[in-house]
Amino acid sequence: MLAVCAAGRILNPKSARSQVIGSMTMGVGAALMEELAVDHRAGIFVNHDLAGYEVPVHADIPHQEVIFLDETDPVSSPMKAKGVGELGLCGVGAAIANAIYNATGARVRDYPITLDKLLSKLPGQS
Amino acid sequence: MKFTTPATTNPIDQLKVIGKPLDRVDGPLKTTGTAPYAYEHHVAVPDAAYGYIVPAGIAKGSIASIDLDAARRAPGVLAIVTSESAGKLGLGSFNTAHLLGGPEIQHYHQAVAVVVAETFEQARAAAQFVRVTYARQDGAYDLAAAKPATGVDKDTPDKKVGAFAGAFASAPVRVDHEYSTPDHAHAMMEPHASTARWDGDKVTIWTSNQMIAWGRADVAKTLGLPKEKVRLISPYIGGGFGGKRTSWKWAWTWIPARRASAACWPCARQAASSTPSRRAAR
Repeated sequence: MLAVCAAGRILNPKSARSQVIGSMTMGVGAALMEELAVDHRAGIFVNHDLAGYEVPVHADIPHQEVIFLDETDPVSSPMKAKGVGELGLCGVGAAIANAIYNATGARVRDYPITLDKLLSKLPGQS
Repeated sequence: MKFTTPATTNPIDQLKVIGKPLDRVDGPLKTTGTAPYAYEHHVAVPDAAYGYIVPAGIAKGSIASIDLDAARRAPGVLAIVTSESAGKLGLGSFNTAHLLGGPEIQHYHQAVAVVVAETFEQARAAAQFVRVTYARQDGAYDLAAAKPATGVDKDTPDKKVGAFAGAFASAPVRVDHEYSTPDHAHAMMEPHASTARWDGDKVTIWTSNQMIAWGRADVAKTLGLPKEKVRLISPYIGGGFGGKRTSWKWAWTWIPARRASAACWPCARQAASSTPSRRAAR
């Protein structure tokens, strides 16, 4: 995965990179895995532990690269910086959805994009 | 802070520290697993008892009866606190549900009792002996079904600029799709744990919290103490992602257990996922 960020002044390139690779990892979770299942009869979140609520771990994540564009943003804050962690997250879900569309021709608009949502959209399916 | 005009030259532009790839001071502690979690302040609080929560088994209704006898007789149990025995508890500014449920239950897994024992295992085992019966009421748990009737959020009303409908109808290219995201949990590494010590009428709380001043104010409000009597210490946050901003209620649910002068609460994963805040589906 590659993130290229125009994030204003980078206050600490090392910790900012850590923020963005963490954000990319969370983005993979949001795009492909994470969903609290609600039991509408009992009013309980059914998968209320890490056995049922899956998040990406090291084995799920490919090589990651982060590039920060050299810029300052005087409009965003007196430090001319932006919040990097949230910026690093916001494009990930769309990028993964587009990659899936590119690979399969199936466009899914309901996250997380799990395999069952692709089946009816694959070639030869009605 | 109001920030309405672009920043001009200021001391930060000198880039003496800012802009440098410095190591985090707590980096080695966190990557070697030696930064303590909030329930591991055993040096500061060597004699802490352990709390374990009995969560409500219904989402809406009330407690019909609660039988603590067997739990009280269990090995190591020091105290069992319920809304009845906790004394008067206030409601924090950021909380919508009370610290302890009963007789009314406001949500699934709301704490109905806190069992305090000499060890974590004893507290957990004794909590299984608490027998609660409920008078269940019907509730509405389907957000998508309830949403049309909720109206516009008064704090963030829809904003409209220009004449959208006409321009969109005559646009040469139109993209009109609905996207949805489900409910999310923060799933942070460290749950909402804490350790507390009472010194007379003052309480010191080691916790995992992103907004210390808000948390302190809400603890004081809930316990009916002046803020000066409450100290919150949160040297590390084992993951928060916003989930430890305003919904730290569970981090100190057991604090009414004053009979044990010091206690810590490791917070079961199930409680971390089902009781504090979550991000709702869109």
